[in-house]
Amino acid sequence: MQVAVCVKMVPAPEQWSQIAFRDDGSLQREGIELIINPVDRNALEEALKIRQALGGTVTVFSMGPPSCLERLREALAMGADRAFLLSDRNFAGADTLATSKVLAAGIRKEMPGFDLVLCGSASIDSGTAQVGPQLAAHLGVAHLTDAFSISVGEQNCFQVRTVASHGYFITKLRKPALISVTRQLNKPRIPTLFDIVASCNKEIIILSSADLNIPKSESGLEGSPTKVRELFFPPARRLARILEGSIEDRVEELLRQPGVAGVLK
Amino acid sequence: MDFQPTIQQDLLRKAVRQFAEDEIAPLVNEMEINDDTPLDLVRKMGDQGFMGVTIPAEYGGTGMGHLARMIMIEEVGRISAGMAMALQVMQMGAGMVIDSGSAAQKAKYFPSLAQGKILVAPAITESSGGSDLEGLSTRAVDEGEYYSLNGRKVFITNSHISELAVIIAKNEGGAKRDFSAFLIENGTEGFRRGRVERKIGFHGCITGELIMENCRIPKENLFGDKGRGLAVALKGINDYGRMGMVGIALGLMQASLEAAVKFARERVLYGKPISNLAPIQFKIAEIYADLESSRLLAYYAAWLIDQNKKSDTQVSSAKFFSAEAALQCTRKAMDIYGAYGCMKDYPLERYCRDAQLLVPADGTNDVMRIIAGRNLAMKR
Repeated sequence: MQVAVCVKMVPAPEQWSQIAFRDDGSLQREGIELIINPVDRNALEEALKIRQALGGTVTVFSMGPPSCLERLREALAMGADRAFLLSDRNFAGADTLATSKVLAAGIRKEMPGFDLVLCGSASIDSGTAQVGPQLAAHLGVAHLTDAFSISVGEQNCFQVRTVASHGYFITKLRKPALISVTRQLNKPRIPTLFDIVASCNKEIIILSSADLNIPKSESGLEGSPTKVRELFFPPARRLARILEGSIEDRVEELLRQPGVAGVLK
Repeated sequence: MDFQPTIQQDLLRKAVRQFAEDEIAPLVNEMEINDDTPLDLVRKMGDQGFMGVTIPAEYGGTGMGHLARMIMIEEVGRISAGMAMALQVMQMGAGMVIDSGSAAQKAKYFPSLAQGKILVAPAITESSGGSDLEGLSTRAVDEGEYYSLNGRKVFITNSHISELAVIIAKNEGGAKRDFSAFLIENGTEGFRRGRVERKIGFHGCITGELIMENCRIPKENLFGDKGRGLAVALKGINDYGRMGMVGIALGLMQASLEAAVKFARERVLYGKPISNLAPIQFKIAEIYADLESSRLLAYYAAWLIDQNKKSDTQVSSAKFFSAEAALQCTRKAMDIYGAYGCMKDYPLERYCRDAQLLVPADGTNDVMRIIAGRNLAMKR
């Protein structure tokens, strides 16, 4: 089984208060510690489990600046066989469409015979949850989102359970396919010291826009139809109201308030 | 001069921190109450490769070295000083077998020692103390086909969970400094475990007695050359024992700093978080300065050991400096918490109790001053 895993490097939550934004609305990452987007680690863990059960390879793809290299080493320490960093000044400022195009180009070039692409359902910094489905569209494969259970069944089908509003879906998905996963899927492993030492002998290859044959007009800020107009904190409004009268009257009044009945069960 | 950790060290810190937060932190309260070493946790640490951090790859370790070990103990100590103490002595035992064991002993006990599947308890201290090595009273008599040992070792870390012990004993009839080291397997005739101590801190790390009564030790269990017992002990204490205490001190100071900053930002007095108050800021700045000064000295001493350079002045200095810094830092963090700091619901009182144990362990702070001072003032 040839599995590709897409990971995004995001600012460490404990340093979010130090994040600044540029005029174009993009993140100023300099000096901020990066971590692997937490749910992307679940995607990688699942890929490693599949490899353990069925054999094959696990290859990690990430788009980002050179500072992401160290974190990719962490993915290798978890057990990935190889990693590609898709990095070019032209890729800077990409929205989800431009990002997914670059990831698709990387996977097509380095893993044309992939069976499965796994990615996290959403990133903790921008949280759009769009890259997975867009990547599937670029690769021309079927996809499912928000998986919390994946098993490989007969005839090369994946049996996937995905989150629904009042239950879950069970879907059979024929390979090649893309699945975005949730934190409930598994518990990502902690690299052992042996894994850490071994990871330093594994290769991380940097691919540029020239390597991927992506014109500047289709990548980065230039290739991004989404433009950030303004960044602001939504105003938090809290309304306090003191109810009066007897206990019974106050409870009845309280239950008449919109949204309260569903909360007080 | 490059202060940037290597990629290996960076990954190691992250992995150990995650392990400590995921696997050790949930057991801290239980360890505080029961004061038992959770053996499942020991097994997990073995699987992660923690006991083999300084052990060469050909013996089943990773050979990442003493600086990596320092980072590891610091991260475990940040969550549990007791577990860091247990771990550092497990590493010390395995390291002593690598440094001083015979080829046959290494072949017999590795890779199990590097994997934490068997543990070695270094046993030096006696009721007369541990710093005056020449005053040890355990005696070894060469009976021709075997050695006979008699004596009682006290305050031995991991005494009741280890399968092996390294015992330092005076050779009967020998000169003043004529000591040998012996490797004793649990179950050897005449060898038994004694009482378990009740300590004020380092809960989760068992400390107790090991007793030899006409204990017959096969000749092949002589550990290092005959008469070299003190050298065997001192190398283990310097490279592992004292450096381990330094790592625990760093962990306690890091934990104190994080706790102090968190509380100061959240606790509101006079309508503002107390982090706005200069006296609180002073304490936090002092904790930080003590931590970073200790860390620099600790990393330098660990680097010297990794380079096979003479390190006893730096190790001794790091030991007394960081132990005293940890005592002050844990106390300052506790002060910032006010009355909350005196409650068992918060970890500050545990940090203070644990910090006190840093002072006597592996050589008192005064003995550390003697070693460093003598080297600096008298030796050329």
